[in-house]
Amino acid sequence: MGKLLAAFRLECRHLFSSWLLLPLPVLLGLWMASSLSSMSPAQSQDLYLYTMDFQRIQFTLSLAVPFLVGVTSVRRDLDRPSYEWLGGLPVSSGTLLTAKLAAGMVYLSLFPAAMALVYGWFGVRSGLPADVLRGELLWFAVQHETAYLVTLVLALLLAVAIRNRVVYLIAFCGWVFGTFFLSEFVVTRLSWYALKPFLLHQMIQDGMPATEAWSIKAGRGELKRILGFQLAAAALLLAAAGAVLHKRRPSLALPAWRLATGALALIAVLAYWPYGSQLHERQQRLAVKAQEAGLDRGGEEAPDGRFPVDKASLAVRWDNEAGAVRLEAALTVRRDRLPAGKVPFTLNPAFPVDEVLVNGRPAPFHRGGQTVTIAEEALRADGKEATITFRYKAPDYDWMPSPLEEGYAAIATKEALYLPAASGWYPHPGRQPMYEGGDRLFPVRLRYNALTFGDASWEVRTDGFGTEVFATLEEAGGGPDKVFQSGRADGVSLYAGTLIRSGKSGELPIVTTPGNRREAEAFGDKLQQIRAYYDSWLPVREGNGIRQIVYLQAPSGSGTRGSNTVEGRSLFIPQTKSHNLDNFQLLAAQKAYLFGDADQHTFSYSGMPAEDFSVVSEIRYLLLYLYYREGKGMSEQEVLRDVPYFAGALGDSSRGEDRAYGKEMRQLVEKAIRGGKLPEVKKLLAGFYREGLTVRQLPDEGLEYPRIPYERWLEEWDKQMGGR
Amino acid sequence: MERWRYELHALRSVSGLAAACYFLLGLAGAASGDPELPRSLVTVGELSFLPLVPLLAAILFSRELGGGTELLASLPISLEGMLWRKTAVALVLLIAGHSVWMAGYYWRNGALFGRHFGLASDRPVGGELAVYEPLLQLLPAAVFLLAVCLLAVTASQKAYAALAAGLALWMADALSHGALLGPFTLTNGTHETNEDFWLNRCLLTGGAVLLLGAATYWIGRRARWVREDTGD
Repeated sequence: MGKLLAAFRLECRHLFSSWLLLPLPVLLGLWMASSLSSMSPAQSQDLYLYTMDFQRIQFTLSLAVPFLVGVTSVRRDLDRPSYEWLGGLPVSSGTLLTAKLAAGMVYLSLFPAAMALVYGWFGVRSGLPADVLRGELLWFAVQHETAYLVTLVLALLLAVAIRNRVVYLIAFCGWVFGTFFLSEFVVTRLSWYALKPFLLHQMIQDGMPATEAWSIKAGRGELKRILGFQLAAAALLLAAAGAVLHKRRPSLALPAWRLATGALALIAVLAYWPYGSQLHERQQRLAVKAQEAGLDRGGEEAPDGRFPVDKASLAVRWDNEAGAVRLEAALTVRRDRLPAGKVPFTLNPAFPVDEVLVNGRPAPFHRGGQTVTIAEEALRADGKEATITFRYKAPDYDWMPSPLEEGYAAIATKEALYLPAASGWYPHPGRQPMYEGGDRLFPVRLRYNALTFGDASWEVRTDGFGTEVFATLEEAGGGPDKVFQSGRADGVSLYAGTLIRSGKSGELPIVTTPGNRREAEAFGDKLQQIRAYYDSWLPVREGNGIRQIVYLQAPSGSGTRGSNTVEGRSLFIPQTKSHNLDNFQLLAAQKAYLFGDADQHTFSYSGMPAEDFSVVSEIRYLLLYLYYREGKGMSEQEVLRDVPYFAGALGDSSRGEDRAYGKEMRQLVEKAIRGGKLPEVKKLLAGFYREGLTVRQLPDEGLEYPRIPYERWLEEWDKQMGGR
Repeated sequence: MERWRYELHALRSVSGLAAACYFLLGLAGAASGDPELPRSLVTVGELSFLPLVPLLAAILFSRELGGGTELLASLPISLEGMLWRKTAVALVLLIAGHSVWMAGYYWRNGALFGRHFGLASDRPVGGELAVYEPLLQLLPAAVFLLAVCLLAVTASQKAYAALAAGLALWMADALSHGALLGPFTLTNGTHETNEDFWLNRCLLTGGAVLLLGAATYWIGRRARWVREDTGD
């Protein structure tokens, strides 16, 4: 022990007296502080997003330091001809190696400490809840320490085994290979996920690690598997380095070191098993999807056998014994609307079905890939309605890698739920091809907007989860086991993970990640002013506007990335780094609050058939316009210039040949405002609002919207205002 | 002439073998693949070529900095001249190596496909490139990276500093898709950055000249090279 301590002290003196090494942790901390403080409006201000960028780039670069420390510490004495006397010293090679490792880790731990200090400071400043901050600090620290440890041990082994100067070249190439090259090209682009545990650190990968909502709560399981293997591999490398050193000098301990190396090699192989078996399972599920996508290429693309469902009730329950999420979906349908012959349903193939009941009686069914078919006989009982109940299980991860990043279509664990409607996590009526790709050019992926359910009344019960569950429907019952309900919706998504609900009581809740808290609060305040304005003169509460905003970065592979969508009573705003909750999003939220959709179409251009022509979009924009004119007191020019979209919707027509209906209608309204007739204008618009101004996407890609000819608008105007 | 041959001797080492392996690997990558779906030269000819620069810089200095540096300081030759000779050798090797890669790519695919920057516009256009274009577009970045490596070597007096500095710069640029280095991004052709291509190439060339000047100054101060034997 005394010898070890003395050797350790010597190594420490080397490291801590170096003018090159000592400032490095401080510099890394400063670099992190400067890149985190570059968060500013126009771009996202999500602290986590910026931190992950730092981990992906700057932390990766910092792994050059353990390589340098490891190689130089061995070459300083053990590899040096003039230090031959070390071989005669009564200190074992294992002791020297351990001292080098321990001193190296003490020095390298300064880097995680510096990063933790900076992240902690920024976390407190941006109002992260204490438990979230603690969890994230621990999450980063564990990964940092393991990465430095594995890298340092690798460098020690390289330096011990290769006495030529080429070891520098090999070590630095190992740094590039073990991080950037392996991650970007081998694991992601070639999709060799079997090599993922060999990455020096996992945070270099895009995809789920970058999403605050799920990285920790859903990624913990996989990280444990990978770290287990990495620690076993580190032990193996260390033992191998010891064996090499003992071989070089006459030693009786050599057989023991060799035995240890062999045993640890076996353990490392076994430690790979948890990750390997999980990957194997995932790849098998992916193969089923590729097969489904292949079927669709064979000419069966068109969905068929779709039928309306009146009522859908889902029960989502965490089953502690099975360690999985169990689901029960009861769909109530009218018999006369069912298709003839076998009745098909579409369900994500990663969700295995245990049994199907029709009106409580078990019914024979056939599962082939994404299709579940129920025999006709089972449905031919009496009664007008049939309730078809599916009892099935959710996979913990529905894995969907893309050539850019590892993605997930669905996640279902005790702490984390990510069940977007697009993933097909509950049965959809009819056969609806969900997947595409799966060939030489493109890997299999979810088809965009593939699944439609049709309107139904919903009830979703959740039970037994470790974190609060959020849904795109309205909450009917509070407490730990939540109930969500909706009179009319075409689908439901569930979210649980590291999420917060921002907004004081009475405000529109915004479900988002803790890193977005400040941004969401500011957005909520602005939205509250808008709501207060409209609630004073429009019957918004009776309308079908949204009741909640979800602002999240979804894991890729889910088919929900890209544009805003309204689902049930929620507006989903996908988060990216390049934008934030800005004026564009505020207008989108304003629109969704009033009309319950995220539509951007106009129906008043010249090529439109007369029966489809409508000025509904212009009327919608006039309603939005009044808030900025009256509610915010902006002038006509200011609104057109400063608020997004208005110049296009109510200004000159962007297409030369089209008549600018929006402009004409705005000019009428402006004339009325100048004449002091604003209350009449509001009454007129409220009349249109009561009739419904929602634009809805239909299952067959058409749009459903109120047809309001321009003449009708003028008629109503004259009636209300008494002339133009 | 003898001095030029001496510089080439450094390539006959284990490190030289490693670099040669990388070169052959890259050549195999450029000359393989599906001609129906040719890989873009921005990956094959730019991104994967640049790591050769730090490798070469480190190898060219490995003999001088391999043992004690006192010997180097007492050599009756101009140290500045040595630096410039090494720079020239590196440049010739890089140009030759890149040409061989491009020849391999051309042989396989029948044409050069990548991104083309016109003089008139700063927006890159994907498509077929003229024979001289890949090299011309790459050269400023390669020279800048070489200058960074050489300055790192002369400032730290360690040959491996070239590897650390050069690979770090390259990796930072590639991982951040050009965002970290801003107007100095090396692989403008690879990524969708908003930087002006011509400004970027001019900055890189100008930066390379400045850095090489600094390296020339550092290496010329002989007193720095007379110091204790540190073993590296």
